[in-house]
Amino acid sequence: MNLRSLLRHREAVTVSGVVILVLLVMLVQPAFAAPSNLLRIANSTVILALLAAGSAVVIMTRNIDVSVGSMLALTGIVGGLMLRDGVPAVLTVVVVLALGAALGVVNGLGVTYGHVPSIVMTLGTLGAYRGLSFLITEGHSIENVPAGYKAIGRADILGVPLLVWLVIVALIGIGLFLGRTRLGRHVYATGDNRDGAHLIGVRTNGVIILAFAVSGVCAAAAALVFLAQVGSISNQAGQGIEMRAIAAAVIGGVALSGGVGTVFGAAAGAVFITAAVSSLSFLGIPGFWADTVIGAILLVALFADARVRKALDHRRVLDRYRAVHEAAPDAAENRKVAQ
Amino acid sequence: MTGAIGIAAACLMLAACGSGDGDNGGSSDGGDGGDLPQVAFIPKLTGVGFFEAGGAGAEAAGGDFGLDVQYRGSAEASVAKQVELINTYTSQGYDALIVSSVSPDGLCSALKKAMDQGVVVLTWDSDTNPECRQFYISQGTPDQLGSLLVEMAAENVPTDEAAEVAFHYSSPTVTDQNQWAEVAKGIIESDTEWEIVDTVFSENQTELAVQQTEALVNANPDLKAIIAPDANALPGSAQALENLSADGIELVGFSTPNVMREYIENDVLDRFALWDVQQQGAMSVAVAAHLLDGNTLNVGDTFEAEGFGTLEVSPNSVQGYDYEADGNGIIVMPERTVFTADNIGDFDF
Repeated sequence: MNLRSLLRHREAVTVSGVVILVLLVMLVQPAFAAPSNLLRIANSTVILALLAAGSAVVIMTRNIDVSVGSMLALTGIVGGLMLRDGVPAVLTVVVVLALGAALGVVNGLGVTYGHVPSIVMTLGTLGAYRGLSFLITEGHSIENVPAGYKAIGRADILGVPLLVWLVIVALIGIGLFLGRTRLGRHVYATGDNRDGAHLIGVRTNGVIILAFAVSGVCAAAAALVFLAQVGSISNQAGQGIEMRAIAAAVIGGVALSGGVGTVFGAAAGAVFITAAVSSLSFLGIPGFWADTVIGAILLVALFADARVRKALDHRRVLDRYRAVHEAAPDAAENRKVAQ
Repeated sequence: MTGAIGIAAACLMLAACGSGDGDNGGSSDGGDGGDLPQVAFIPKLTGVGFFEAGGAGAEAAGGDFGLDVQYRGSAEASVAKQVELINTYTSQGYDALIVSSVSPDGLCSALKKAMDQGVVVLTWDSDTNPECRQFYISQGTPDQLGSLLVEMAAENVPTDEAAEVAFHYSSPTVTDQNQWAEVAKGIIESDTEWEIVDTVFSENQTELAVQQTEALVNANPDLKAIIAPDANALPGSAQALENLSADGIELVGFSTPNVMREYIENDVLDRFALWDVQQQGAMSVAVAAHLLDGNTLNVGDTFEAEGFGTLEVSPNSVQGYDYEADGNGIIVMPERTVFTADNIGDFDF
């Protein structure tokens, strides 16, 4: 596999990373690779995978969204209150997703028309959205999500949890949108070269607002999963998870410099992080290593990314050099003929 | 790119600091305080039923004791946030600080500075090093609470048979939970045939608590008991056992009745324990009021606190410390409660 296709298919590298990780842990603890455990890891990854996919879309536009944890908490608390007070689940899902989109649009408007750098804008809403959830709940957590809704978290189809299926479908949807539609290609174009994209007629502001809206919807979807899997939600829900979501996207090959990456890669990065943390239990490594492990994985991914990029640049320079030298003798001959 | 992440991380911390003021428990600091002595009652973090209940108890007791008690915390359990709060209230001239500490020594210099300025400094729920406060209002000594954990687990798991048990609580730096777990582990090693297979942490995050427990159960198919002395770890573990339909695992720990009610009713677990945290908040305020009245307290002294009967100052050694000094010690709450299906209906916090 040459470097260029390696870079083009970074998610393949991440998926191989997951496979290698599972095989390595399996050598020590065969039970780690048991289907039931792999399904459990998939199930545990769902929340992070959704957030990572949303973050990835924003990062592709060369922005960043650090408010996803707060959006998860706020939309989840609204959803939890609605479910607890007897609002039908379908209506709740629609309202929660719409709220997520609205929160994302606020981020997008601030970044585009407000001209606030995305890190600053979403840091602001990181605090503001969490503050709002405090106002709504007065600090208390929302308990007693109806058992009927929690049953969604336990349902499965062909032995695979329903929520895992739903997230796979959602990711395929976002992936097709990004890869196969004109608007989706505009997301990459905007991240790769915003001014250039603008010049060729891409409505870059609209694209960026859309990307933040997608991130908001993903956070809201993660909140709906949270309610089904956890059955209660507190104001602390999702605190600090934005860093894990961004890490998952980067591990999955989404470049922080924009224009590169896929939501599948981001989801694979999320699987990798969850599997790595969960492997600690199997390897008998004390729990307080978890953060260190995630940090180390992220550094390795960034390092590998930088190396691959550098090697690629180097090769490009070499190619050009060679091209010039191979062309040179011909040119010299031509000159001779002319003389 | 690493730089970008670094900047992002630094900014996140800043943002978290910046949002702190809006996050407090919603107490009023309007003019109603008047000339009453001001007391800040500080939790590890806000938004957890346990601390909210303690705060409610403390604020209510403020009225009884003629103090303006304000429940003030941050949404994030961090040393930096608590130090910031302590410094703020010290410089604003508060008369007393009552803190549930996230770290044994992280708050020390801020608290010592407060004491130097004549502020009454107490801890509740989770202590600092004893030289950094005057009195610790304790929910029970580590011996009492650690052995309570083992006793609860032993109700269903015979101590004379080999069994795998695991611990699950918030973080490796939390003073109180570490102390209980250490005592419990000591008892398990010396008095039972059980084997401790793992200790996992969930950092006050319920979804992490669910995932960690599911991983724990999968990694240890013969696990017989999980001991979860943390208000997030216990409900998270219960939800995980429900998700996995794992019947053979006994779960015990500490959390609040309102959070655990559905799991008791669904038979996911048989019993868990806590102390009356509203009463702990109120008792902390009673001690602060006694000291703010100009009284001194030393080890062995007793005093009458309205509504609590006779309270006694114990030496720091009951909590396992070496440090003893005048005007310094521990006041232990008289009782703790084990909640079961029979009595959980009597509690609402």
